[in-house]
Amino acid sequence: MSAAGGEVGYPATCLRGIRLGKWIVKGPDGSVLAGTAYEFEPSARTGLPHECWREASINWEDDEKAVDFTRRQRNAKGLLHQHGVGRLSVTDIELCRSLIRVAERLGLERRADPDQPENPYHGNLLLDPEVPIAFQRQLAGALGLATSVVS
Amino acid sequence: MLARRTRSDQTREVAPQPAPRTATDTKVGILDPVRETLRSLSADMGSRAKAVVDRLATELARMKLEGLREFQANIGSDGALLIEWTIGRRRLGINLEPKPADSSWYYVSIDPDRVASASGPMTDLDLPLLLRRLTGE
Repeated sequence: MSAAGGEVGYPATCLRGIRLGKWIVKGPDGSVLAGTAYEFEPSARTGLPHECWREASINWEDDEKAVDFTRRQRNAKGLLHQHGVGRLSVTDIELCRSLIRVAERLGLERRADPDQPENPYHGNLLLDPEVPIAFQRQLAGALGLATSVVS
Repeated sequence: MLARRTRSDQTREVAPQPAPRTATDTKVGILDPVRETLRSLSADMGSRAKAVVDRLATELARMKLEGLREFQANIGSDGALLIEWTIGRRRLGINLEPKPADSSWYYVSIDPDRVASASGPMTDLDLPLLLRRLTGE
């Protein structure tokens, strides 16, 4: 499936697991996510394209099973995403890129996670660590605002 | 103008026979999630955050807020205090960083009819203008 108005090779939407209840911002027309839901991993990636960039894990919504799969993901401590799943469109990622003027310094990828070999949907949002902290905060706030909590 | 809340005011609110809540109390209440977060901050961060909350309270007291959701406040993994107010598809963020000079604000709207963004350092924070843009007043 290719992206609807987004990058070729990706589905139209991706999913962000909700690990903390305080990430959810409830509203009369549905819930969205706080910017803290898109804090990128502080550790730099190594041995991969976009060396030293930072990751935020996502699952690509390749099919109708992806939401349920994401809800059920577990680690040794239990459910990974205890508070549900958020859905973010590639079109809105593109909008955030242009609004915040990070352009190609925000990347997308599909990449298997060695810690989740059973996960066929895994990918990452990638951020250049040279993006100033103020723009990182604004980008995270925009991505969270564009993410709808799946009911 | 909204009077600054004092410790004695807070004590009076939990007294056995509190006064009925007023419209002004309701406006203060919209900031309660931020006020609750202040307690877990360092002295320096708490002082800077309280100054921002006081500015917000002063501006909010002049506005019609019925039906609007509360502010959110989260502490980032790096210790920053991240204050957000979301209305529909618009959001105002105020970010108090461990290094004060890195602190910033942003406004973003992904409302299809009003796509917009702005940001700047705290020294350029024009709260009346940003709150009007956010609420559409």
